[in-house]
Amino acid sequence: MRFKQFLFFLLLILTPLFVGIYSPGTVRFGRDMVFSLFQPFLQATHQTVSWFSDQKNSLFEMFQLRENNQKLLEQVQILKQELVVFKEMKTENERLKRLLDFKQASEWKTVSAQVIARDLSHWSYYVMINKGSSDGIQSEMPVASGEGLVGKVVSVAPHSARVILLIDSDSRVSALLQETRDVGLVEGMGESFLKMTYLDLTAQVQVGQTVISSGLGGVYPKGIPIGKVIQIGEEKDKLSLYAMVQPFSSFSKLEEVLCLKTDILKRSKET
Amino acid sequence: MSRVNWKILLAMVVVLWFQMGVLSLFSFGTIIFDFSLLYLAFLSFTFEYRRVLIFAFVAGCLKDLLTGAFFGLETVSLICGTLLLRQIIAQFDRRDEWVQGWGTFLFAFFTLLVHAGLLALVQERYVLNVSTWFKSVLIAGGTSVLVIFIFPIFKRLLETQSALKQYELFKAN
Repeated sequence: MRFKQFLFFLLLILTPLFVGIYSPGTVRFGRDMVFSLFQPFLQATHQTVSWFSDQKNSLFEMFQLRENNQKLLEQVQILKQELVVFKEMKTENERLKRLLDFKQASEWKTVSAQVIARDLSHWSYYVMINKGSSDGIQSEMPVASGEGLVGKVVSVAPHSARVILLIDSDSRVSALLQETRDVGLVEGMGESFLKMTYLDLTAQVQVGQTVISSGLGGVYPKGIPIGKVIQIGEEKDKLSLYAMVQPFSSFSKLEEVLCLKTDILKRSKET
Repeated sequence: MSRVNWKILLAMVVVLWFQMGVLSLFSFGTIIFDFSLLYLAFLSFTFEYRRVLIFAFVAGCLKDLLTGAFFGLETVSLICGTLLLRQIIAQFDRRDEWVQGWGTFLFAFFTLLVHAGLLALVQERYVLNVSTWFKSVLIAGGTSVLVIFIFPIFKRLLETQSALKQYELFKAN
């Protein structure tokens, strides 16, 4: 009798695991349903908390207004000077592109969204955003913040979507080093840092170099900043190099993100 | 289902909502205190263990549905943690605040490690390393510190009396 109870108990514990392994469709359906139920409450909570946070911030900022104003004025002066240089560079760039008959990449259309919840698990890194299929969000859509690449949409409900972050151990992005154009694969490790693997042994990788998405792989468009190289090493098999990358996006403080509607996504939908 | 069970279930949903929507805004990097673990620990110290196991299963399923990670890991790890806490409670005085504090720490630490271990099994690229242990200690430590403040709130919320064993009724102070 005791053994039967034990067997029943064991089976009960393992049932969710079996469902996860053998019926991912059911899991997806269940998750979308539960998220849709939670979404209005999370949205309302997010708005309330944001309001309180804004009030607190404006109260603290009042004491530093004069100092901040002075700093901003100085920054404006510097930026004005830089703007002149950039305008000149832009004109030059356009001229050179025309010369090379460079096909200008179509502009990304973006949908801005707010992060309304984070993942309950301490070992996986997902966030929930307040835009869904009714706003044009689709699965596999790249997501970025003002600082750089954030991740991609993995599941979509009518008014919310779940985004896997780059730091999750299930994330992978084809990337290249901006300065040397060496190609590699940026992988999440479930920690704050990323690892760029499959770098050629002859790659000219250096600490401080910028890593951007390469556009290979069919999900992420080319040229989105990912992070900065902070450490370089040789893989155990001594066939390739790896680089530890500090991401530009601050994943624990994400509040607003941009979902990118890219040509890559359109093409993959057509095929 | 009895009124108390409904209350426990409703409070569990509220705790999960709080964890997802509010608590994550006050994170220290990737370290976030876990109220769902705290709530299950409270249930373990208050109710008879069979009932707690059922609620651990329900909480695990709910968490699995609300996370993006591999389905089923939360359920298994929460039940394993609850079984460990049951052993601790059987050995010590469940009303003692110190027992509640370090019992919650061990429960949270063990549950997190089991989850990380299972994740490493199902996800090839996830590796258990020093930072996993370090992060588990920090989360478990932070969560167990909250016992003093949060357990009375849970107690008030559920309006429950601690389930005492027969021999505990005759215990001296």
